Amino acid sequence: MDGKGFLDKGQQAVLERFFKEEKIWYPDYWYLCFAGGLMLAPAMFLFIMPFQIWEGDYTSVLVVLVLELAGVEVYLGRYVSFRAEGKIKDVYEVLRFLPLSRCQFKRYRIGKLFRLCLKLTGTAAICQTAFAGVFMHTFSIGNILMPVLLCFLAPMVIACCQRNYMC
Amino acid sequence: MTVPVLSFEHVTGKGRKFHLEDISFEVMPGFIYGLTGKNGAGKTTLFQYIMKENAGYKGCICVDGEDIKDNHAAVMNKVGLVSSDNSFFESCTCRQNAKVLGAFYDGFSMEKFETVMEEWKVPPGKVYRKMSRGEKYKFQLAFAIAHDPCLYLLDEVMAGMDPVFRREFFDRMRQLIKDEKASVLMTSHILSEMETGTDYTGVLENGRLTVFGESPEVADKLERKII
Repeated sequence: MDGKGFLDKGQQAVLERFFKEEKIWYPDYWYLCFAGGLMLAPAMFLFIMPFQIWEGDYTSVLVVLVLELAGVEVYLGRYVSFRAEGKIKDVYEVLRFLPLSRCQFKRYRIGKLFRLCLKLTGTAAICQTAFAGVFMHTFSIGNILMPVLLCFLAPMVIACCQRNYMC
Repeated sequence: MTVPVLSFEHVTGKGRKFHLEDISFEVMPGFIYGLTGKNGAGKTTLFQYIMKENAGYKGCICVDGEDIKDNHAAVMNKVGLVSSDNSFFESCTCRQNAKVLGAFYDGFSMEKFETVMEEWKVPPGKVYRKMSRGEKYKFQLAFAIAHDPCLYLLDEVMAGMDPVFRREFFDRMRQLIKDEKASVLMTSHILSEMETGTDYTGVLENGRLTVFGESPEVADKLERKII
């Protein structure tokens, strides 16, 4: 396996083990989890509400979307950089001379982002559909499309534009 | 026919202030090779061509018969690097670094790592940041030994070692390459160490390998040139 064109299961498994031990080498682990959660919570609070309620209030949606994108970025920050000696260092800088392809590392990051976005989208879509049905006695395809657009596509598209995630 | 542990075939590339031009040489198993030259001659750049994925050079660099461009990650399993360019987690102990980063290698032995560290009297529980340069090199070497590479790359490590450990170091390297059919390629400015410690030496001047041969002969040539 050259580690470039597709997922190398061996390298992905080693990375998984490496990040399971991150509390050893990552001083900001709890801080980033907390900060990421703090940003994601209000964003998700809006996104689980049926979009029929906040439809038209695009300023709030934009603010919450920015908060959500920032929350995702902070939450996944541990896969990109870490703090050492007061400086921010790229995690790959420590891994660059090890038997690991840079492409595989980026694929691992994008995999983590994909799974987080999928969880957020699933939660938002299920809650929106349920709340719309129970409290508003209505259902629209928008209750699924809105979470897909805001919780999945937006962060994934932004990640695709960043060199930290793409090979 | 014995396969060279490392081979450079017409390697040409651009450095910061110079061009590396048509570098070709082979490193055979069981020997210690040295590269010497002035600052900026291209010694470290040659190492970076081996270690960096997608390094921009033309030609072919093979480790144990495998072109490093074909599968860089797999080749890295066969290489042990000791260099000031090598990064570790500064706030972690040596043991933590070895545990977390050693997992990337196929045959990394924590036991072997601890044994070598003990042998060299470097406490594995010491925080990496608080270690002296010599201790860091010893740790890096122990880390490299623990995954049984066939090629050891040592970039300017002599400068950080005390004279007693230098002798001990060469003895240990001799033992390693004898037992494990490995080779060592090292760079140094200290010509006397190269002459006595290595089997073959190459001299880099402005990105060209001007002299390559058995170490005493190369040392003779260089001394004559200086005189």
